[in-house]
Amino acid sequence: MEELRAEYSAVRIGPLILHEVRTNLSRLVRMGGYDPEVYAGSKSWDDAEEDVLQAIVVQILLEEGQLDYIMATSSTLIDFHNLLARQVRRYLARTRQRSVVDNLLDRSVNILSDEPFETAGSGSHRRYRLRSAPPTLEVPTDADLLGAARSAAMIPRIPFAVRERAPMVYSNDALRAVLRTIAETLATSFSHHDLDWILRALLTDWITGFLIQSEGLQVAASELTPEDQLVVREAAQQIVQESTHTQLIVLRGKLESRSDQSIADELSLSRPTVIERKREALRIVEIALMDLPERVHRAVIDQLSIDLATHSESDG
Amino acid sequence: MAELGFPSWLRTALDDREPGPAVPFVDAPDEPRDSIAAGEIRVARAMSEEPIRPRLVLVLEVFSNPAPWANVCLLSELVEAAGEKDVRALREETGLTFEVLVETDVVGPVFLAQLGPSLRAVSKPFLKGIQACLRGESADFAERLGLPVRDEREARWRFKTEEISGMHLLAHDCFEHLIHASTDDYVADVILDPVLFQAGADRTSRLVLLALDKIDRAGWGRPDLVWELPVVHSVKYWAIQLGPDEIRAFEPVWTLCLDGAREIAESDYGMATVGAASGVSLLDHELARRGLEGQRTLRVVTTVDNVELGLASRILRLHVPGVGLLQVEREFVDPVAVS
Repeated sequence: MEELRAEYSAVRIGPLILHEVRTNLSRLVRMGGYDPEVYAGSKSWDDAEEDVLQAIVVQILLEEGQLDYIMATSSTLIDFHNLLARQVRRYLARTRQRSVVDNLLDRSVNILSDEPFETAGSGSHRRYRLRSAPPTLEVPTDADLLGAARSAAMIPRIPFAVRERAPMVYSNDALRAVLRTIAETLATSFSHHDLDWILRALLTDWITGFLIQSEGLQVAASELTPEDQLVVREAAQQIVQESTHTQLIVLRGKLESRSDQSIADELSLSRPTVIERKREALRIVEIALMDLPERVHRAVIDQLSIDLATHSESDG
Repeated sequence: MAELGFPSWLRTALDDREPGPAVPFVDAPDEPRDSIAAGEIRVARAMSEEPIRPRLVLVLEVFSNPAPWANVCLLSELVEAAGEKDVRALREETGLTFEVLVETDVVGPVFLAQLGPSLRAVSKPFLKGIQACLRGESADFAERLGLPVRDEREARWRFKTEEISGMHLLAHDCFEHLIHASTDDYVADVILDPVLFQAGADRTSRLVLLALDKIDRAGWGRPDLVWELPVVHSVKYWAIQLGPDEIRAFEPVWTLCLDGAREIAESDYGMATVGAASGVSLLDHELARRGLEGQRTLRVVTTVDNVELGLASRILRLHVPGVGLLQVEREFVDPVAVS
C-alpha cells in the first residue's frame, strides 16, 4: 500500500497503479462472465481490454476523481483492491445501462406511435404527448423530468441478471404504463432526449445492482403460474373497482412514496382526510389479499401499480 | 516513446489536467482534533477492530460532553444508488474532486478520535440545507434527491441496508457510551496522570490541588489514580512530606488510596510490572488496561510540561492492539500557574 501511495502522491497514476487496474479488469471480465460483445462491443476481451482499461483510467479514476476517493478511504491493500473493483464494475455497468436504455427507447417509440399518444415533428424534433392533453408549446424542465421519473418509478420492473444479453426491464404493459405516467405527469410534450433522461433515471438501480452484486434477488412475476397470474390480475382489479377515485389517487401517491401532505395538496384536502382515505384504501387492499397465498401478494401490488398508472385512461 | 509500463495515452491524460493536491491518507500523522468543526468532510474509522473500511463522513455537529464526539452523516461515492433521502453533492459544493451522496438517513455519533484528516468542508448554507433534510425538509435539494426505493427487491434497498450496517459498526462504541452516560449511575472516568506525583513535593501539591479543583468545577465525578507500584511509592513519598492542613486539603486523594489499596491487593502485580518495565508509560499501560476492559474514551488530567512539542492536542487517539482505538481527552493543569 505504501508504494501505491508514494506513486499516487508523486504522479497520481504510474506503472504500479496502472498494473493494479489492468489486473483487476482482466480478472473481473474473464472470471465474471461478462460478454465482450455486450459490455465492450467486441468479439473478444483480448481486443477490447486495452480500450476499456484506458476509459476506466481516464474517465473514472482521473476525470471523475475516483482515484482520490480510493486513496482517501483505503487503509489496506484489500480496501484498495475492493474499491478499484467497484470502479471497474461501475464502468461496465454504465456501458450496459446505455444499451438497455437504447432498447427501451426503441420499444417506446413503437408504443408512442399509437393511441393514446400523439406524435408531432420529425427526426430529432419529434415530440410526444397524450392525444387528450391540451396542446402546449412549453418544454419540460429538469425538475419536470425528475417529477415524471418519480411517478414512473412505481411501475414494477422485471428482474435482470448481469449475464442476460437483452434484459426486457419492463413488460409491454408496464412500459405502456411508464409512458402514460410520464405523459400525464409532464403536462407538456416530450422529446426522445427527455425520454432518454427519464429512463436513465429510472434505471439507477441497474448500476447499483451491478456494484453490490445483488442481481437475482428479486422474484420475477414470470415465475408465477398462469393460474397465479390470473388471480393476481383479478385481485388488482377488485382493489380498483372497490375503491373510490380519491382512494385510488391516495393509493397511487403512497406507491410513489409521496408524503400525505403532498397528496393532500394535490387533492385540495386536509392531511387528516388523506390519512383517513389511505386507511380505507389499505383496508380494501388487505381484504383483497386476505385469502391469497403470500407468494402472490407482491405481484398483486405490482399489477396494481400498473393498473393505477393506466387507470385514468379507462376511468375517463 | 512510452516508458515501460507507462503508456503514452496515460502520459497525455496526466499532462492534460491540473492534478490538484493529493488527498491526505486515512492514517496520516495525528493532527489536533480540538478544531474539528461542523461542515468538514473527514474519514471516519471504527473504534473496535471491525471489518469495515474507513468511510467518508460529513460532520454535522460537534459536542464536548460527556466526551468529545460528533454527529456525522455517511457519504458515499456511489451516486447512482441515490434514494429519496440522499442528496447528490456536486464537486463545487464540497471542494472534493469527486461527487458524493450525502446520505441524510444514515447518521450516527462517533468519537472525535475516530475522525481522520479533513479533506474539505462544505459551505454553511449547504450544511444548513442538509440539516433541514435530516428534519425531513428537503425542498432546497429537491432536484438532487434520488428516486424513491420501491421495495426490498431493489438493489438500492440492499445498498441502504449495508450503509446502515456500516454506520452501526462506526458508531456503536460512541452510541453505547452516550447511552451509558445518560444513566443515573454513570460516573465519568478522570485519571490523574502519574507524572503529577513525580514533580517534587511542593509542585505535586500545587498540581494536584489544581487538578482536584478542575475536576470539581467541571463536575466530572471522582478522580482515579493509576494503581501501579511506582505510583503508589510516589504518592507515599509525597504524602509523608505534607503538613496537617495539606493532609486535610487532599482528602479526596486519601479516599482514593483507601479504595485503591483494596484494588491493588486484588490486581495482577505481574502484568503491572511487565507493563511498567517494557518502556510503556505507566499512564499508557493503565489506558490500555481500561481499553481491554471495554472502555473507549477516557479523560486524563496531566501537565503541559508532559506534552511533546507539537502534540498539544487535547484529544488523542491511542491504538491498543487487539482492542482498537481509545479516545484520550487530556485536561491540562498549567504549570505556569503553580510556579
